[in-house]
Amino acid sequence: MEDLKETLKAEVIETLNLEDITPSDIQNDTILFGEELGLDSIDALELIVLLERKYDLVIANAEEGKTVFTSIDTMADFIESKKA
Amino acid sequence: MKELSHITLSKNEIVKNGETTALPDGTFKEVARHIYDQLGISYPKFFKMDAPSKLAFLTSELLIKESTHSQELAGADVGLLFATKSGCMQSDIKHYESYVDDDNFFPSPAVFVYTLPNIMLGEVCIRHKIQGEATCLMMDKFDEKMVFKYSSDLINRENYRYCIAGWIDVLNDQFSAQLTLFGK
Repeated sequence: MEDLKETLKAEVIETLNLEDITPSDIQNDTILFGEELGLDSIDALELIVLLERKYDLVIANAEEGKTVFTSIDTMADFIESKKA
Repeated sequence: MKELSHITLSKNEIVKNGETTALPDGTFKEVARHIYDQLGISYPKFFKMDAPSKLAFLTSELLIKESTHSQELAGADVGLLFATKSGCMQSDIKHYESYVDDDNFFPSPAVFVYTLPNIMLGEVCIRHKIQGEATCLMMDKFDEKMVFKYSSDLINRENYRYCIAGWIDVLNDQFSAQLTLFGK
């Protein structure tokens, strides 16, 4: 699970063009759409595409999206739960 | 109408109000990053912009840097008038490549939002809270006379306080920009 979280951090940084941010700057429980990373609605759409492209997972609705994209922890939990 | 400031940006130099500053060699992305760092600003959204938006943003920032007018651009009586030949062609191509393959169909929202040539004006408007006319003109070559006349109309007839007008063009690593800050 920790490997997946580190991979997700790198993927989030690359996908969202978060220049000058490294995986070590993002804590597992950092609120992704809080003030720290400055993400916006387009970034949310990009993360949805990321999950579909890399993990073949589809977000069912906006409510599920809000939960899944809360943090790296919740993204990893979602991916793991779909593997079972 | 007065010309308050003028800048040109090309492959190896910036010329602002007659003063030349050299630019390093490199790809457009590298040169843009260099200019951004030299400006000493913190604007994370810059890194999400496409090439025309980066060029428009940087050229505007350089144009008004250390100017008394830089804090006075907010409002509905400030306009932007940018001409371009290549427009958003780079983003158009990138967007096309993301969906043309049926087996790898993943259009990117972050690319798609830049597939209009006038988005580069939007980025400058957001930065400086400009709410007046923001017009993007497609031209084969920069028609300075026409752009000057249009700016003059905005300032003299529409009573605009300022107009930033000029040329913003980038395709792959070929780029050129020139902007003028016009005022009363």
